[in-house]
Amino acid sequence: MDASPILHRLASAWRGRVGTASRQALLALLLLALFAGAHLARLGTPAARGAAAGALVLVLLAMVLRAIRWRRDWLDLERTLTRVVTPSHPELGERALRAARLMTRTRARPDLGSEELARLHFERTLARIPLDAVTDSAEGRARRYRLVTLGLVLSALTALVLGPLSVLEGVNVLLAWRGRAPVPMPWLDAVELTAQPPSYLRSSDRRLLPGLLSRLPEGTLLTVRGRPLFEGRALVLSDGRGEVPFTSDGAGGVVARWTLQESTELFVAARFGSVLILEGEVLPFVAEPDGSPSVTVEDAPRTVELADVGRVEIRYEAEDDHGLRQVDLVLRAGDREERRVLLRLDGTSRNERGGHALSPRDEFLRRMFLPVVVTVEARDDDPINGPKWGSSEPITLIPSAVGKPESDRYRALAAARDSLVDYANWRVHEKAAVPAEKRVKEDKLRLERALGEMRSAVDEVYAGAGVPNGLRSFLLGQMRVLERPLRAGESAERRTDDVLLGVDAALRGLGTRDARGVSKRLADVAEEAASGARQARETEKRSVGMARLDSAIEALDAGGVHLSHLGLLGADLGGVLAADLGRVRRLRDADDLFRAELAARHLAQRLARPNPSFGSAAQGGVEAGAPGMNATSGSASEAAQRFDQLAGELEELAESHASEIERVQGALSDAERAVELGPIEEEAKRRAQALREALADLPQSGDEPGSARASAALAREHTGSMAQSLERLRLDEAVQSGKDALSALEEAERRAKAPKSPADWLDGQSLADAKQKIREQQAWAEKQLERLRAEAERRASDALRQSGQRESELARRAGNLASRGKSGETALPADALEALERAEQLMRDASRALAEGKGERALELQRQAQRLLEQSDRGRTTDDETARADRKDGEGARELRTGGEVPDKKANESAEAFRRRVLRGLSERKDDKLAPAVRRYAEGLLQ
Amino acid sequence: MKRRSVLLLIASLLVIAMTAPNLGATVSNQAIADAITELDVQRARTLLDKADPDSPSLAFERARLAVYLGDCDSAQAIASAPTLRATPEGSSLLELAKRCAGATAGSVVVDDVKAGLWIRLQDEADRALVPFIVDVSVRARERIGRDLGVDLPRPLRIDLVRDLFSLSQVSGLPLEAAETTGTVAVARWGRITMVSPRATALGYPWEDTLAHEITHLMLSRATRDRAPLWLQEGVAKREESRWREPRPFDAALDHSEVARAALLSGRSVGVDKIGPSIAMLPTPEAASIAFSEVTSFMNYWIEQNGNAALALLLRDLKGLASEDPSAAMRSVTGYDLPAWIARWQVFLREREPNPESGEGSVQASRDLARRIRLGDLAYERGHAALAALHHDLAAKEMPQEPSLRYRAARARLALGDEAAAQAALGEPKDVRSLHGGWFALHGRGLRTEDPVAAQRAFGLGVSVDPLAEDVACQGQARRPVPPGTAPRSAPVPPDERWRALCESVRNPLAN
Repeated sequence: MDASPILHRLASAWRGRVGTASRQALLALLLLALFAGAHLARLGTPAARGAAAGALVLVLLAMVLRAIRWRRDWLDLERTLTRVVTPSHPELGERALRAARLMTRTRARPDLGSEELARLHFERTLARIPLDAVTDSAEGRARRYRLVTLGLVLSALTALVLGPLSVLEGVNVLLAWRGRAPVPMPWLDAVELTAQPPSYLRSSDRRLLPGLLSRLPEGTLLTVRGRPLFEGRALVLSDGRGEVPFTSDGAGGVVARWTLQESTELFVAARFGSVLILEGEVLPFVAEPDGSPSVTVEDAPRTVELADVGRVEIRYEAEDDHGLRQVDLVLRAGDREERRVLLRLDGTSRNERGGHALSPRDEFLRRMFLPVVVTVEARDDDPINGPKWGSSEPITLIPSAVGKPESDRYRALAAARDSLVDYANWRVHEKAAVPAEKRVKEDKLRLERALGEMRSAVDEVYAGAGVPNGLRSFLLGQMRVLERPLRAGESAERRTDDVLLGVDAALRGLGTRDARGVSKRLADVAEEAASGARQARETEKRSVGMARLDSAIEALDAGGVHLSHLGLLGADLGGVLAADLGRVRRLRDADDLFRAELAARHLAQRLARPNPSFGSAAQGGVEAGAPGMNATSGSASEAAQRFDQLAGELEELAESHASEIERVQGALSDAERAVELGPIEEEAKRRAQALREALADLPQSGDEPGSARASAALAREHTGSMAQSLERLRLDEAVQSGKDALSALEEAERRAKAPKSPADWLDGQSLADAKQKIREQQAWAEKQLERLRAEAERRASDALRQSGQRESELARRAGNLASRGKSGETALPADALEALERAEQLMRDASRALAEGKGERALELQRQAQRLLEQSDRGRTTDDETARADRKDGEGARELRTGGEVPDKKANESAEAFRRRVLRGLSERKDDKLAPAVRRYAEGLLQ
Repeated sequence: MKRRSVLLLIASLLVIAMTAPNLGATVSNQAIADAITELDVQRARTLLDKADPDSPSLAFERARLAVYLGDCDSAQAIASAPTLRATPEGSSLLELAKRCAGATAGSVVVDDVKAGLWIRLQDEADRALVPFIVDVSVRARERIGRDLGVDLPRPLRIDLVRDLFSLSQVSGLPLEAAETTGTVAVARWGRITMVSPRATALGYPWEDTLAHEITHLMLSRATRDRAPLWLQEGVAKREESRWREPRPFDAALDHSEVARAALLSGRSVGVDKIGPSIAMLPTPEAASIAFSEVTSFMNYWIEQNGNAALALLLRDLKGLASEDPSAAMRSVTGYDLPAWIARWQVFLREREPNPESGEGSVQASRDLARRIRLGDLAYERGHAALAALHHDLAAKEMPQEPSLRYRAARARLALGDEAAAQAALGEPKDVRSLHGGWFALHGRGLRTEDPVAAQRAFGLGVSVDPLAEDVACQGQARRPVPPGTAPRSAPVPPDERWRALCESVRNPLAN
């Protein structure tokens, strides 16, 4: 604008007053919008935040518009005149406007007149406008602006005063981006942070330092407590994705709990609608997941040919970061799986070691024809993510062909039988050709050869399969018959023939039984072939199915050969198998899998029913021809049946004798209970108290195991038990506890004399004093016990006498069995016979003791006799490796199963582990009924 | 009135038109069923081709026809249709077809068109028996057909199965029943299902059994399967040995004597009380008595009435509307069944006892059993002298038992003493029954002097125990040698089919 100085002066007067006032008003409005908007925005809802932001924007826009307008007006001559002059002097203002327009026109078109004259006219017009009037007008308008400003400022101050923190929060909320306010604010004071690990870890709570990185198990419950700095805030604990509200703890504070599922950073925040205002400090955590257990198996991975080993020992160690629940032995072959629980734990143990021995005769392994992958798998106790299994490296077992162990065993025994045939032939046909002086020596040599072959055959293990005990006992018994000197009038040839026929009959029985067993196992293989064919035909896994079919065919082929070796039935069933397998193979080769499956299923059904092809008949039938034309069947030897009869009687005798022992025990127990112990009750209590006083100087348990102090502590425990037993008048238990206590004290003394650590430091005198006191009380208890037993035996004398008569009868039966077991068809092996004869003698002694009323002594003798009876009872020729134990289980389970494998004494580690297991078992079993049997069993083992 | 008559006529025509096809279908169904029962599978096929293929009632006949043809897979597929499966007979047929399909899948089929025989071998190793089976089947079919006036359609279907289990699976005969009675063959479903001689340790008279079953099929065809069981079994038993030359010991078992003894002792089963099958009688002894009773009864009946009466009886049975055979018997002879049974029982009671007849079953004494087993053990071990010692003693104890003489003879042969072997063997008059091994060694002894008699002896051996090595190889079995001695070679018979049989026995795995 080419403004004149006059106009400039007028405009300045106007702008100086109105401009400032209006600007202040707008600033006040802005302030009000900010404060009031903050209150609104604090609601946190999108609408509230939008409204607040909108108000602020409007005010700012107004300020900008005003600035633009003012700048435009002051640059334009006519607008300036209109704003400054016209309000106070409208007429002069019009004139001035006309003069200004004239001036503008003459500048653009000089032909319309002189520009100077026009300017002069304009200046003069302006000069006529009084400055005061413009000033007054401006002053009036400025005043109005100031009043508005005042009102706005007051309103803004009111909003601020009502809640200055709210204004800050509101502004913070207003500026939030993606739900989070930009400026952190403190919300809690005196923050406490505790961590409670998952209950299954059985760990105690921990206090944590807020702000420091903490490593905690997954599933830990975090508790954040604090005192809120401001009331009325919706405080939350959040990780940015989820949040839990703080609740009142009832003591002026707030508390929030958070379960740690993964590594995260937690923070305290206040929630305003959809916006969080965070505290400045974060709580970082690393969640440590519960790892899977790790299992290591010694020497795994490895591959074992089952035919080459007698047993597969699996030593494992399982570890878990928190605790183990279960350890399983897992056997997998093809799509079959079997899990066996080795250990069940309470979840507290983090490390477990153990061992397991698998026999090649194991039922699962015997059924398998595919490689069996054995792993040890351990399960932890993670309830958060579910239990997890850890698995060891595998041991791959290559099973023998189905039926190979049985076939090898049968053939070895048949070869031994054939050596007896050779011997019989020598005696009849070749002996005469030997010079007379050499005959005896040659005969002995040939007999030894035959016996040696039989003995090595029965002692051999055939891919894990031994000769069953009953059969072994029979065969060895028969060999003993051959060895013994001839009786008067006895024919050596006849005796040899008898033995040969007995062995042959037993062998044929074994062949038939084994053929049945192998056939049934091969039925499973045929079933696998059928399943493979179906899988190949019906599913997309054709190649897998074909592989299953092919491997099953291969296994059937090999198994069929072995089956054919197992006597007449084996040959018959082997022939059936070969015929049907031929059909399966032809169909498989023709890719006719449907029919291959049908044929394989037919074979499976047939093998599962291992009867002779012609049922029970030896020769066909009544349909045509004359039935049974050439039947010259008949039993050539009944030695095996008679031996089995003897074995059955022996078993029955052992059972009857066990019952007799129980009767004697019962009679003595009843009599002991009937003895009046009232007179010694007070004395016993006094002595129990004396014992307890004697304990005072002995250390409490908790010391290093194996130290003198630990032994002394053990003695203290035993002495406590002794005192308790005395109080309850259980004199036998008191005596036993006393013995245990003395033994522990002696151990403590021994260690204390040669201390190796501070835990071995003990006062020898105090130990000696304790021993002395215990001995005194024990002597008294023994004396009373002796008196009690004597009295009990006196009272039970009638019952004992009757038992004595029964024991005598049982001894007579044992004697009869022993004499029958000495020779002939029912000959027992030497050691079994010796055991039976010793048992008979002990039973006679026991009978005498019973007749004399010496119950305790008789009982001891009876137990010894019982152990020998059980040693002599080897089972029947028809028993397989498990039949005897199973039969006993089925007949009332009077005895413990003795079919488990006992490690060889030479296998130090496993033998020791086994011993420990047995002893632990004994310590846990308190069943009265089983106790004697368990004890006898243990005694037998220890021998 | 006139309008009413017209309407009535129209209605009648409509009814006739609507029912006519059903009547036709009923006739057609029966015709198909009869054709199948009479083994006329060609006619059954033709009728089925003309019938409605979607008819559910025909599905059963189609499945039945498939079973008759030995096509158990097709039978299974047809009988699997839900509508058929839902019926008791359909469900039963499906079960049979399933089991049969499993037992026969992949079997070897020998289709001898020239001989009119279709033989299915479950065990391929039995292939060497096929020429012998063909020979017996053709001869028996011709001779028995002539006797009964029946011509069996070709081919005659024979299933040779490996064991009783498969016999049961293929024929539907309950396994327990077959095992209890020792059933070796069944003529059912238009086929003969027979157990291979290799299923039994000492074989069985399979030739006569085959003839016996062929007779059953002929009777089924002749009577449209309406012949009662006593007639079936009686005639089959009569015919089982009439197809061939008489053989030694044919008369060893006097059926009338067995029936007489049973009648007098109260063990009689009763001709008309056999039940659904002799194979389903409770014991082998009952089955044996039942066989003897029906054989004796039918022999008596034919003796009294002649062969022509039998042919007439069969024709009458075929035409009977009811299942009761008494009516047919009365129409042929004037007496009904109870009357004939009563007359037969009178005949039995009045009959002189035959002390020489027996069931042939011998239970060895303990000492004899010892000798036999000791000898067997010695022989198998190659100690032929010891074996001969034991078996000689055994044969002395029971000289008529051919198996003992055979054992003694083979031990001599192992020692290389041919003459001693023949001496131990004796003559046919010295033994009491047919034994495969005995006749094989007997034939061996006759080879040079009387080749025809030798061949007859070999044939007798094959008729009972074709898979014994001595039988299959015409007395030239390999003999065990003492331990440490090289095995001796053994010749094979020159005749092709005998050579094949011998080689299949010596090398069973070659198949």
